[in-house]
Amino acid sequence: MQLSLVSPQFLILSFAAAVLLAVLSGGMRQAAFLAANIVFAWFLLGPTGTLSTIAFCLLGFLLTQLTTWRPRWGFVGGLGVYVLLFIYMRNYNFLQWVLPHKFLTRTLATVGLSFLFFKVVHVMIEARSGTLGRLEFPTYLNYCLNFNTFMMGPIQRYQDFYRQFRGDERAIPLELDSHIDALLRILLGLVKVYVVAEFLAQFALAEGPGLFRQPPSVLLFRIYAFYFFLYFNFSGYCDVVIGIGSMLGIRPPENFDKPFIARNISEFWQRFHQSLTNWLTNYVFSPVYKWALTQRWFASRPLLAMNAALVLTMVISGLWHGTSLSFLLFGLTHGCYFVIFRTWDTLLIRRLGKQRVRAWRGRWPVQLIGMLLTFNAVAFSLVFFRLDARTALHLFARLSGIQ
Amino acid sequence: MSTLFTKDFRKLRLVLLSAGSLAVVSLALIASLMQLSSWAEVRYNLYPFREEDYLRYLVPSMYEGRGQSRLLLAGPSETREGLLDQAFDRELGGLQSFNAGQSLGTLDDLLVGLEYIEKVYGDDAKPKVIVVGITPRFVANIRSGNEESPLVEAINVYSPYYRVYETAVDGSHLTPKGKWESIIGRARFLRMQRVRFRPALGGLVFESYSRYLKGNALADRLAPNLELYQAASASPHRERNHGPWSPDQLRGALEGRRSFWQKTSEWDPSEDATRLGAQFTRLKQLATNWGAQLYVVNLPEHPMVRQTYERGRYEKYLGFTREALGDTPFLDLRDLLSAEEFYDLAHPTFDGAQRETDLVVEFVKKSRGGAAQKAAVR
Repeated sequence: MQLSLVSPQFLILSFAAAVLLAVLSGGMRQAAFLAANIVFAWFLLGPTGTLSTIAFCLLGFLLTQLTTWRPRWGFVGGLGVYVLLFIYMRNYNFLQWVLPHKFLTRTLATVGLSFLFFKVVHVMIEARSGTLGRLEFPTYLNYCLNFNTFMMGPIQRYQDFYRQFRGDERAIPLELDSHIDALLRILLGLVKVYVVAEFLAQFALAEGPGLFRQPPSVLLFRIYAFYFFLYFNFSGYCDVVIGIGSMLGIRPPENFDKPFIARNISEFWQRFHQSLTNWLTNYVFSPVYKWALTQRWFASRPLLAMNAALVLTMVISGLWHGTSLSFLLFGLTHGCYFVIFRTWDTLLIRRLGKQRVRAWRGRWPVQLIGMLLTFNAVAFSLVFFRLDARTALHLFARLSGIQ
Repeated sequence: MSTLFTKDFRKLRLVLLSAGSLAVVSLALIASLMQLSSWAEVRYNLYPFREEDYLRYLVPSMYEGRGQSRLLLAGPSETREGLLDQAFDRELGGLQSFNAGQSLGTLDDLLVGLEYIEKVYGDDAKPKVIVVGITPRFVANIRSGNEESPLVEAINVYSPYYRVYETAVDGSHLTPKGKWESIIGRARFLRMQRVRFRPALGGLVFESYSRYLKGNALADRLAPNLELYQAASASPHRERNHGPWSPDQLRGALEGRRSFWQKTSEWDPSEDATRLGAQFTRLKQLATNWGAQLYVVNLPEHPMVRQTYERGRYEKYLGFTREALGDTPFLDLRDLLSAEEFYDLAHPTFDGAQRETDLVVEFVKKSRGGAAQKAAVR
């Protein structure tokens, strides 16, 4: 069950938590917030889901301790075990080819598991690098289970959470204006989710028997409508949690910055689901790219190294979003987009030089074309989000006139 | 103790002040939207709560002050889908119809609903004409499985005024709620209001177009879509967009162990005769007290359903019903529609509904004409 943002349970819990965090200090504050988080998890996931989630967090903590104790093999082994456990709990489709059916279960594929996984892996990696700071178990548990960002993020860094929770850093200034802004942010988010997105949902692309009876122009319209629906739904949700987080004193990071005006795919991912992009850049792309450059074969082919790292990053992004083939195709599609963009960019700079390219890109017709191309590229890739792989490919065949 | 609480309560004051402001703004917004919804529902005859039609009894704008020239179409979902309110409006001048057909509705629900209208909305809400569509399931008070009546549950949970209690013979009645129950009911129903806002906003946009933007080229191009949206919001029908069921689906529904079709075909009206008599008497009495003309229509049945009744049972149902209704005008349309004129086991297609409605309209016209003549003679 997904708790609605306007459900009495969520609103009462948010208000109670904000009051308790404002009033209490020390251990009682930790305990009160943890109680609120567990109550939320109980409402959302039920007893089995809550227990499995807490167990997943506990294991993450233990493996993090192992990582700090034995940085080399503890990290590799611990991370490997944790990734495998995540794959099993998430119940990826390909597991049916690897494991007997009786070992597979959907019970552990709880809401918020993907976000939780990325949070814990972030803690593990930062702990190993020595950049985590102090890892306190109660704070760690509150960080993992933070009800405000549990369902759909944004993915907050542990260090930011720790500083804000302890009061070392203010989430927002202690002024009335800031708090009014926070509540206006909540209202804006609710309007986006429950008015705009709900209105768009009726036009958005959806599976159904009548899908292929519609003319290509209508299908195109519905693809665009789905993109807008997804944006308003997700960004509205983020507005609400950022507003509530500000009231709690633990403000999550921004997650959207006008993605529709992105002029290329790289800029798109810097504007859309920013916390995910930061995570993937820090923990997948950068390490893989750096490692590739140390390999002799890639060292003389830096563009190839970058493209390989980008494709791998986007494939992981796709698989993180969902368990089926269509999400893998979503990731591969964006990987291809990056390859095309980076290759084109590199060749252009080689031919014209950086300054000329920059000047050319500054012209408004070029920017407009870039925005239109990026908008369409993203809209079409999101078809894989909505439809299964086979239906999506049929749809593309129909749109391109093959069928 | 001092370590439990912070020494600085600035954050708490700001949180309480902001949360309080948010609550005030939200309530003001909701109140405005509810006012807008009430206006739009009256102005454009909208039917809110498309999927929970029983909730319409709880919406004042559906009934308050609208009884003067109202023709109420009541009964189960077969009434909602089979009787086209626009045809009644067209043919029976001076009357405006309202389709209160209810999913899984029963005779007991109808009596509770009419009592609710009387007690909550007063004399101005009482319709002048009541056309009740009946089926054996409706009259037998049968639903799927052990389901509670959705209308009774809705009144118990959401009504600020009454709750439902059962009596022995003539069905359920209303009893007033206490203060605390009333407040909780209101708060709960407030959460359901969101569904009314979108059609209301559509009504506002349409009104703005009609008053200020007609003649504007761009607005005129968009107007047909707006009119379509308004027409959909002003229609009580919701099943007709589905395609017709296949024979296998029909058979599956009919033979399903937990379906109400089995129960209905096994129902013996003679064991229920006392209750039938009491409930129809209550219905007739209510119509008499209101000064309303009452008409009862036995709705068409799918040929497959017709075949399921045990020998003589259906005739008993008709017999007891006619007897209980006395001289109330009664029209039997059981055999009217063919299988092709139904899209599932119960609900007619648009063509089927048109045929059915035409006959019911004629029947009401003739009966009203006959009643007027009788009154003139007297």
